[in-house]
Amino acid sequence: MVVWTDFERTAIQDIFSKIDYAVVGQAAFSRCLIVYPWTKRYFGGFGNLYNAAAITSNPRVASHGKVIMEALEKAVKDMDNIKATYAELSALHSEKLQVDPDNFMLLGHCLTIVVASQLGKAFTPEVHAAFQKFLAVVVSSLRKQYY
Amino acid sequence: MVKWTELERSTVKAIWEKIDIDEIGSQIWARVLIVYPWTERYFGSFGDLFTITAILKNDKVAAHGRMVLKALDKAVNNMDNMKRTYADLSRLHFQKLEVDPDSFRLLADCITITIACKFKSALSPQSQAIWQKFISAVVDAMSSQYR
Repeated sequence: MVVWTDFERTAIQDIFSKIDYAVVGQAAFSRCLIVYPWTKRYFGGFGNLYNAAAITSNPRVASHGKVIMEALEKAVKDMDNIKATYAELSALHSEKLQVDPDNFMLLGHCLTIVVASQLGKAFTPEVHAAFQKFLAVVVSSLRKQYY
Repeated sequence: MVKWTELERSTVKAIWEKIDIDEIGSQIWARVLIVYPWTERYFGSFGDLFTITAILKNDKVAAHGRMVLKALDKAVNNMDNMKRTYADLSRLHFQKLEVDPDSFRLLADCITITIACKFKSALSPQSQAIWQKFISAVVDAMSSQYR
C-alpha cells in the first residue's frame, strides 16, 4: 500500500483546492491532444480536432477535461484507496475503450505542466515530487485491470 | 535527420532567449534529484544530498544544472546537427559516466516543467509541443552513442 507523508497529503490537497477543474482540465487535455497527436485516435466522436486552434476551442474537449479532473478528485479524497477507487475505470479503459496505458502518463505530464504554469514558484521541487508520486499511483491504479 | 519548420526554429529560439541560464539551470538539477531521487547515485562527489533543503542549497548541484543548460545551447544553435553535436557527450555518458539513458528523458521533463513554472501561460500548447519535439531530439542525440 502506498504510504503518504503529511507533506505529500497536504501538497496534493492544496493543489486541488487551488485549481479550477474546468480551466485546468481543458488546458491539460487539449495539450495532450496537441503535444501527443496520436492520442486523438481515441476521440473520433469529438468533432473537429484537426489543429491546435480547433482542439483548444472544442467544447467536447473542454467538458472531457473537466470529467478527468473530477475523476482525479476521487483519488485526492481517498488517497489511501486509489487502487480500489479506480478499479472500474481501469476495467473500462482496458476492455471497452482499449486505451494504450502508456498514454496515461502523457496526460499526467501535460497536467503537471498546466499545474506548474498555474502555481509558478509555488510548484517547488518538493511539491513537484509529491504531485509526481500522486500521478504515478493514479497511473498504476489505472493500469491494474489490464491483462 | 529531424526536419524543422521555420515556426519550430523560431519558437525554440524565442523560448531559449528568455531563459536565464543561471536561474533556470540551478533549478532543473535540484528538481531531477528531488523528484527522481535514484539519480543521486551519479553524484556521490557532490556532498550533502541527503535532504531536500541540502539539495536546494548545494552549490555543485546548481553549477551542474548551469553546465547542462550551457550544453543545451549547442543544440539550439545546431538544430540540424544534433547527433553530431552531441556524439562526444553521448559517448562520455555511455562509456565513462555509465548513465542510464532513461535519465535523459527525466531531465528533459524537469527542464520543461521548470520552464512552465517560469513562463506560465506564455508556454502555450503549441509552444509546448514544439519544445517537446526539440527536447526529444536532444534526448535522442544524447542516447545515440549507446550501443
